[in-house]
Amino acid sequence: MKAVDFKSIAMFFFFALLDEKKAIGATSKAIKEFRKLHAKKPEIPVNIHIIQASLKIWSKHHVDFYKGRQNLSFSSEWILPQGFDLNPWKEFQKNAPEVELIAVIWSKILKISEKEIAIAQNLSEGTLRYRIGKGLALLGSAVISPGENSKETGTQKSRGLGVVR
Amino acid sequence: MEFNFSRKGERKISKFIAQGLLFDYVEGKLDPERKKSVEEAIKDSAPLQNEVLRLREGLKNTESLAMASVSTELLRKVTISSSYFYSLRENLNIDKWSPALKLGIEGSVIALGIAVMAIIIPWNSILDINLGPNQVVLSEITKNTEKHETQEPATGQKESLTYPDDQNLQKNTDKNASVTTTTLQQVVVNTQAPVEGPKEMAKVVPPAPQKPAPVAEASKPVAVQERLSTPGSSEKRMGFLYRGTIYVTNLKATTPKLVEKVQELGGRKAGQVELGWFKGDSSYFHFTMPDGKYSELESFFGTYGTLNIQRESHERVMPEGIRRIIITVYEKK
Repeated sequence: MKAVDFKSIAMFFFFALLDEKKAIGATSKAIKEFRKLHAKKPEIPVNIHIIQASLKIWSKHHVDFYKGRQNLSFSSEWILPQGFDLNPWKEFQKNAPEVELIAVIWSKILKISEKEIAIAQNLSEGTLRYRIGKGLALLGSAVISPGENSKETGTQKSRGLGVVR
Repeated sequence: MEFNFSRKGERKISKFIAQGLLFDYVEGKLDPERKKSVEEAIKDSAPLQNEVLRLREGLKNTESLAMASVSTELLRKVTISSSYFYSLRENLNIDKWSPALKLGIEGSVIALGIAVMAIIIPWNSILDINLGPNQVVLSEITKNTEKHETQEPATGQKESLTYPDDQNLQKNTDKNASVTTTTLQQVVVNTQAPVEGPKEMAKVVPPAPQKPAPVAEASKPVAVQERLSTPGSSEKRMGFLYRGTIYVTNLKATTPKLVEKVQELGGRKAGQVELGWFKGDSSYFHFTMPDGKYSELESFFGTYGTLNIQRESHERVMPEGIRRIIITVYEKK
């Protein structure tokens, strides 16, 4: 497996959990899961298996996501741009529905094509783009007016999976 | 074929539709006509403008987040950290355990380790600890090596030395002095007679109450002097003899059991007669046994009756850890 694939998985869990320790553990599990999936069906593109393996492991950790637990020490293992402000993302991660968070991470941060994401999650591309758009708007709100976003999106999160299209 | 979308040929869209197309508009994925329509809708709507602004800010933020990366060290760690121990640790969520639970488990592990070490390691040999009697008595040697009555006799003197302990009665008690004297006289007499076997020894069986004879008194000092005349006797180390009596019911049935128990505890006959030698209404036990088994012997004899034992000084010295015992078992009337 190529190193860039490991990076995708690691970054996904880093941004999704915002917990370095959990991210490392989840990444190693996702890698094992990916190897199983890819060994069974090697003809399927790698990115699809990456997303499927990651989401399978994510389902075990999403409880922590809902509880809003974040544990970042910004160790040297995670390389972030200098001067970068993670606070809008923290707020977005805390308030966003799970499906929008995942969609934004895979498409806009990890730069995986929307087609592969939709196939991996068994969604239509339209549904995926809708979720991405909603997520980006939420993230943008956190950037423009931090703090106000929690009131606006509190009802969205309380629905559990957010608005499903 | 052309479609007339409106009277004026315009393709206006509602705000709702415009809102749905905002993301595509921001990403530049709309065709020119649709883009124009959306722009017109945005122009007249503050919420749509706000939405566009948020989308653009969100996109800008994700662009900078996309620059994040991971170190090669982390990549190596996540690749090889699929060991059983790591998985076990993650699954157990040890970090979430309370400090009291962790402390309890650590203490239990330490205690278990110490217990295993205490059991496995042979501390006896390491520290040279003597936890019990490890001496084996191969033979009994009396320290009095001179040629007197205290020695194991030649055949002619068997009777007199069969019960040499009887001679001690002269030294110890006043009450029994006459009895002892009488007995001693008999011993003296018997030494001159030939040996005929155990029956002869019956004559000098352990002391029974008898009236003292006046002649005996005269011989007493002689006998005693003979014993005391042993040169250097006062300088010798004195041993001990444990003499006792017990009254039991059904002597004939009880005696074999007592014999068996004495032998089981390591007792061996110290005289010429066998353990439990019968004479009339009594049986006679003259034996040696290890000190450590004495209490067990006492308790066993005690189950059949009251055992009265006294310790008496005696010239015959036993090896360390061994005691000589004479017990007379009588039939309870």
